[in-house]
Amino acid sequence: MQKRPSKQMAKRAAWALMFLAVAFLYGIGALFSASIVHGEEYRLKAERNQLSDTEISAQRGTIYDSNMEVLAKSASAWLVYVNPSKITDNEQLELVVSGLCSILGADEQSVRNKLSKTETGYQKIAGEVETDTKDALKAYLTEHKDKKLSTVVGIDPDTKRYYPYSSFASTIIGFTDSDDNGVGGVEMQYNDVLTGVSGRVITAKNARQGSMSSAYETTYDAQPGVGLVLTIDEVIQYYLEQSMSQAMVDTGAKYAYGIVMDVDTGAILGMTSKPDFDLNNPRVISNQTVAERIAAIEDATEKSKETSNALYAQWRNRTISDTYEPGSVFKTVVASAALEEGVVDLNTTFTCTGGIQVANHYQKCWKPGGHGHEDLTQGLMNSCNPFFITIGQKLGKETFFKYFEAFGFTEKSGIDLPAEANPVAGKTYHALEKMGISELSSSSFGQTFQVSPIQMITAVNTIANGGKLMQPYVVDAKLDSEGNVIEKTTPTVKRQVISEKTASTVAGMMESVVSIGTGKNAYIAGYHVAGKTGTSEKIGIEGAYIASFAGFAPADNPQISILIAIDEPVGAHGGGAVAAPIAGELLEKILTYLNVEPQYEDKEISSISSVAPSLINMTVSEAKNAASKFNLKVIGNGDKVLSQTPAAGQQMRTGGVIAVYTEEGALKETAVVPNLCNMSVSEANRAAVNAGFNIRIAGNTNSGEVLSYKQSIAENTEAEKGSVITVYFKSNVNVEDG
Amino acid sequence: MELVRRKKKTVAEAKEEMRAGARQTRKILAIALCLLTMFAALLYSRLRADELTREIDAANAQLKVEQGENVRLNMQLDAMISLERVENYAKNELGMTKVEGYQIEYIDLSGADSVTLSGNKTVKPLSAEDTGKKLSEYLKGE
Repeated sequence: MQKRPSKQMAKRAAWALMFLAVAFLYGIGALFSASIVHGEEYRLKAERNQLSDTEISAQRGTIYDSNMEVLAKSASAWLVYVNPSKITDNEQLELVVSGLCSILGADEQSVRNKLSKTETGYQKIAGEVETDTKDALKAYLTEHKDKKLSTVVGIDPDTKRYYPYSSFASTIIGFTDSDDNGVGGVEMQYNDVLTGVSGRVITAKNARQGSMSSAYETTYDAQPGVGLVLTIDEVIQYYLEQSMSQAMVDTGAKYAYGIVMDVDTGAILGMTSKPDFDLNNPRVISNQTVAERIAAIEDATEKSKETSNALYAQWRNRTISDTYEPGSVFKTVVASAALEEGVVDLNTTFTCTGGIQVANHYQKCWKPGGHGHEDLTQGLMNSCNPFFITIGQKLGKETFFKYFEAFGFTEKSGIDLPAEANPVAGKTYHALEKMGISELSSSSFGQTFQVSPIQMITAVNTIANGGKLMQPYVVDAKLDSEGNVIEKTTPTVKRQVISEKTASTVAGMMESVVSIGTGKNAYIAGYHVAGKTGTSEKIGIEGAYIASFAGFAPADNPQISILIAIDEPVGAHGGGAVAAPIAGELLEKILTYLNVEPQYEDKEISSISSVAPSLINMTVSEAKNAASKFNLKVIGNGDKVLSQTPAAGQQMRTGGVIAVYTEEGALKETAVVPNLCNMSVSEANRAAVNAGFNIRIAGNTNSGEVLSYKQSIAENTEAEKGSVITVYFKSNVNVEDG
Repeated sequence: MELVRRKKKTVAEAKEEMRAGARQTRKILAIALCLLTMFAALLYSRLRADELTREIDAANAQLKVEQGENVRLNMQLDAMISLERVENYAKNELGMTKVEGYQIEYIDLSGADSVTLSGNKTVKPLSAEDTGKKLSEYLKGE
C-alpha cells in the first residue's frame, strides 16, 4: 500500500507552489511591462542596435541652355572632417595640421582652432574635395599610419556642383551652398525639383556593429533631381555678356545690364548684369578694386559687413531686382496708349518752344529753344518732353493709369527667377488717387516713377508682337534623369494691351527713331531696327544717369527685342550716345547668328562699296588690270599670284589695298595698325590705306556727321598688309533725349 | 518463468543480420553525407552571394567615383572650349576674323511651283479647242 504524503510534505509543496505562482506572476508582469508598457521604447532601441540606416543622396538635376550645352552639373566629391577628441599627442596634431594644410590648402589657423575643440567628435575641414585630392590625403594618412592619423581625419562622401563656364549667365543660373541648396537664380527658384528625393539603405547589424549580409538589406533608391533646359541661347548670351563687359570698360560705368527676349514667346534668350561673379567661387569678390579696398579694412566687423555687401551686390540680378526711371523709352508706351484711345493720330502736331507750364512749374524740354513744329513721329524721334506732357494730359490720369497697368507696370512680370522687384503704389509709381497734374505730366515722359528692366522690355516687346503682353520665362523644359522631356513651358499671353494696328503704327515710329531720330546710332545697314533711347537721372545721386535703349528687330517682322542699360557712365551719358551704339552692334551680331538675311537698300549698297576681285593664278600684269580700282601691292619676284589679302569676295572700299604674293613661302608683309578713332569715314579710310590696310564701315553711316569710335584691330597691333579693319561709326549730333 | 524461447540463430543468419546492419549504417551515413554536402553548398552559395554583393557594391561605389571624375573632366573640357576661349584663340593665335554679315550669300531654294512628269511626257498647253471641249464635258457632267 502506497504511503500518503505527510502534512509536512504538503506544507512544503504548498510553499513551493506559492513561490512558483509568485515567480510566474512576476514573469507575466515583467513581460507585460516590457512588451506593452515599454514596448515601443525597447523596439526603437533594438532597431537602433540592430539596424543601420544610411542615406543615399540624390543626384541634383543638370541645367542646360537651349542648345543642350551643360551649364551646371553635379558629381560626387568628398568631405574631409576631423575628430578632435581622438588626438593623442602633439606630434600627431602637427602631422594632421601639416597634411590638411598642404594637401587641401586649408587655412592653418582655422584647422588649429577646430582641432583645439577636443570635446567635440566632428569638425568639418573642407567639402567638395575632388578625388585626386582625396587620394593624396589618403596616401598621406597611410604613410603615417603608425601615428594613427586615420582615427583623427575622416573622409565622407559629398557632392560638388560644377559650372563649366565660370561667370557665364551667373545671375540667371545662381549657385548652391554647402548643403546643396540653391542660392539665387534658377538654382534657388527650382530648388525643389532640382534636388530630387534621397534614398535609404537599411542594413541589419551584427553584435560587433558590423553590417550583416545583403540578405538583410533593404534599399530605397534615390530619385535624381529633374533637369532644366533654359531658354538662354549660349551664343546670344555670350554676345550680350561680351557687349556689357566691353561697355563697362569703354564708358567707365558702375553697372551694365541687358536683356534679349524672343518677341513671340517672351522667352529670355539672354540676360546679364555686370559686374557678376564666378559661379565656381561665388564667395570671391570679382571686382579687384572692391576686393583690395575690403582687404585694407582693419576692423573685423566692418570688414565682414563690407564683404557681405560686396557679395550681395555681385550676386544681384539687376535686370529684375533693381528699378530705375525709364526716361524717354516710356514715351513708346504713352504713344501706344494715345493712339489706341484715339486722342492723337500720326498727323497730330505740336509746337515745342523749349518748355511747357505744368501747374506751378515750368517744365523745360531737354533741347533749349525747343524742337519747333513737329508731328507725332517727329515728337518721338526728337524725344520731345513738352509734346508728351501734352499727350499725357489729353489722355487724362484714369486712361493713362489704365494703360500703365495694362502694360504690366503695377505688377511683377512673373518671370521664374527669385527676388523680382515688387511695384508698390505710392512708392515706385504714383497711385491713381494721388496722381495730380504734375505727376501725370512727369510720368508722361518717363520720370518720377520706377520700373524694373524686365518690366520695360516686356512692355516694349508688347509693341513688337502685335500688342500682346507676354509673360517672360527662363526655363523652357524639365527633363527626367534619362533626358526625356517631362514638362514643357507654354508661352503665356497675359492680355492684349493694344491692337495690332496701333502696335504696327508705333513700331513704324520707333523705326524712324533709329533711322533718323535720337536712336540713329543703333542703325545697322541691311536691317530695320525699331527702338527708343532713354536718359534718366538717378534719384538722390546728383550727376548720375542711366543711359538706355530698348527696341526690336527686324522692325517689319520682329524676332528679338532688346534692352540695354548703362548705369552711371562717365562722361557722355545720353541713351543715344552711349546705349544705342552698343545695342546696334549687339543686334547685328545676333541677327547674323540667327541667319536673318540683311536687305540692303541702294544707298546702303553704295556705302558698302567694292568687293575684292579674285587674282589667284593671274599673272602680275593681269592682276594689275583686274585690280585697277585698288591699290595693288606685289610681294615677291614670281610671275603668278599665289595668294592675296584680303581674300576674293571680301568687301572693301574702292582704292583700298590688296596685297598679292607671288612666291611660295614668302613671308607675309605686316604693318602697324594706326589709330582710326575719332575720324570721319574718309579720314579713317585714308589713314588705313596709307598704312597698308582696308576698312569696313559698321554702325551708323546713315547720318551726315559721324565719327569713328572703335576699330576691330587695335591700334599699334602688327597685322598683315591688306587686312580689313572694321571701323565703327556713330553720331553725336541730335542723339540727346530727356 | 520463460515466456518466449529465443530462437537460435544460425551463422548465416547472424552474418546476414550483420550485413543488413552494415547496409543500414552505410545508408544513414550516405544520407548524412548528402545532407552535409547540401548544407555546405547552401552555406557556400550564401557566402558567395554575400561576397559578390560586396564586390558589386564596391564596383558601384567605384563607378560613382569614376562618373564623378568623368563629370569633372568633362566640365574642365567644356571650360577649355568655351566660346570666349575659342574666340580668343582664333583671333590671337590663328589670326582669324569673325564672318561678317555681308560675307554670307543667301540662296533662295524655294523657287516657283513646277510640274514634273515621268517618262518622256511633256506638258502640252491647252488649245482653245481643247479648252472648249473640256468645258462642255464638264457642263454635261461627263
